[in-house]
Amino acid sequence: MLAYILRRLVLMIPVLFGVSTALFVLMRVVPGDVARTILGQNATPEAISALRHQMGLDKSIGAQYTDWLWGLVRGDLGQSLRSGYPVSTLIGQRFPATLELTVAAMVISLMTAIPLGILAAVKRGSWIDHLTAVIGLAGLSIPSFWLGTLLILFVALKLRWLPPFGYTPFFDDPLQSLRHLALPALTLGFSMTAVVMRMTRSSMVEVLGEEFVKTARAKGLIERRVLYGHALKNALIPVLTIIGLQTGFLFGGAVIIENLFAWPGIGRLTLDGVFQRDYPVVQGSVLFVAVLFVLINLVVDVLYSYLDPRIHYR
Amino acid sequence: MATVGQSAVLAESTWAGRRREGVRWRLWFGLRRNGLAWVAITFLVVAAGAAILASTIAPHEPTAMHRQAKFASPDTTYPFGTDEFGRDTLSRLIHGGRISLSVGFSSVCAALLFGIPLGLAGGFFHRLDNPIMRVMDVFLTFPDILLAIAIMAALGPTVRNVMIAIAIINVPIFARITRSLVLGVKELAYVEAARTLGRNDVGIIARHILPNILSPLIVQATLSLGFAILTEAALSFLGLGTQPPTPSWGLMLNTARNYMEYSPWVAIFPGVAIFLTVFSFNILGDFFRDVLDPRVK
Repeated sequence: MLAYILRRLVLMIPVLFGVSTALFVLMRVVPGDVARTILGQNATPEAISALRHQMGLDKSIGAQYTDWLWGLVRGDLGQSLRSGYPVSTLIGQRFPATLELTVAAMVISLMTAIPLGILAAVKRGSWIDHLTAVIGLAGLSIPSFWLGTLLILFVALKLRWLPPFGYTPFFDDPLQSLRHLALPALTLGFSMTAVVMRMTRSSMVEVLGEEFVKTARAKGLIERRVLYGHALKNALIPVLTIIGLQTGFLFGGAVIIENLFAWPGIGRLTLDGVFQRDYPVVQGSVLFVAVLFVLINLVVDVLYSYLDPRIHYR
Repeated sequence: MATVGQSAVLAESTWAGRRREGVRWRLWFGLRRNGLAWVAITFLVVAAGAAILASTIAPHEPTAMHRQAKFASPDTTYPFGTDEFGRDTLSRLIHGGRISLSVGFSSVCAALLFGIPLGLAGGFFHRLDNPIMRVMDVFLTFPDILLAIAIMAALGPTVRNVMIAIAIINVPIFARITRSLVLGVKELAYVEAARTLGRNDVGIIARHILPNILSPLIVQATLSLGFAILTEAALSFLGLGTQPPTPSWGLMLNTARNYMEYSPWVAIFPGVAIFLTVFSFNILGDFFRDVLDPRVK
């Protein structure tokens, strides 16, 4: 197992190399002179050349590329053009808020999606099944920023149950922190709920039709044991893949939700970077999330072997 | 040999004909039993019609400001109310649909145009498989909305660039699906038979492989359409897509945030439009999957 994890980590290197190259290329296709775009039309030629020097744009494209890669190897993502802080420091400051948001979203969606998925599969063809199917499809179709807007409008502004936006670190004031967390986490988790619920249902339906479930029933096990002891564990294997993928997407979706709820996480950092044309910040934070995405999928693959002993890793 | 070849071709063509008939029959039979799919199709036809005829049927100019009617509630003149400049919400929704649907269609078409050939090449020619798929994997490493944001940051916020960004995030998806489908089909006996009969690679791909992997691709394309519209709206909502004063559903929701406490309808109707459109494409995608994919029951 350890050898497998190590091998997967080594295999990550070419992928990360490709990802960082793609980001480098992307940030270099910015039309026109980046320094002039950042400083505006009235900037003096001296200021522009100074910025070009600071960004390393006066070097050849090959030298810029090796600088970028060498920086990454040392964990240096460059410096923000606006604040001057290292990008890695900024990410470190913002990451806890994003992590809080995504973990809460994940907990909410798993706690609703898996029971509903099982229920729909067990009561296949009933009105519950049809209802969850429609809810699932609707969950995939509802724009998260609109759902969030509606929640702000009705729950926060009309009913005044929860604050519309803002952030309190959990350890400063746990209760207030959860009150701030509720709406964004609910919004972010909703689409994941839909996806996981659909997957749980179809996977469970498939497993319930298999021979070993019939055997378990035939030997007289009570239905609860059949469902949770035999069927669920097997049904969860494909669900786990989806959960892994969706967790990655949560970090992507967080960009939108953080923007809507004024949540000071990585997503806001990225978007502010885009608007302020702070390219090192955009480059660094997107790379950070991509690496996270790859790592999560690795964790999921390792968890597989726990759930499904038939899978052997070499 | 000639007669064997001819009869094989004959058998093949009648078989293909019957199969196509079968698909058509299944579609029709499926539609008769699936009321939701009818609703989705009807909605999409109406939405597409409204988008095409936007200038004719919209009651007002989408950018015309009626200063005497700012934040008007829905009434007979402005059925869905007006926004902060007194612009008619219904007219803006109709014109916004034009952007959403055209961005959706063109980006998915572009993604099909690049993704399917890449997947065919990767799946069919073993030597191309690794180079193509490793590049696709790099793009799949980014959460899609984040990749779209990075692309928009680099290219700048215009409608054309939104199409490019959404096409780029969809190309690896189609390439990957196509590749795995080709791998499943290319070892089958009828492909072997075609090869024995002396068909060249291009002929085999066009005549034998592509027609047999089309169904799952249609399903994915339908789902991608909904997703593309959702992404366009998200980018515009973040201020990275369509720019004012051009009406777009996502952009309307973005500006509505500042006024929604006083006039909730500006925050409600554009969302309903996005939701219903994406919902319809998802229903249609699910319907195609049920009807066209014999594996799912």
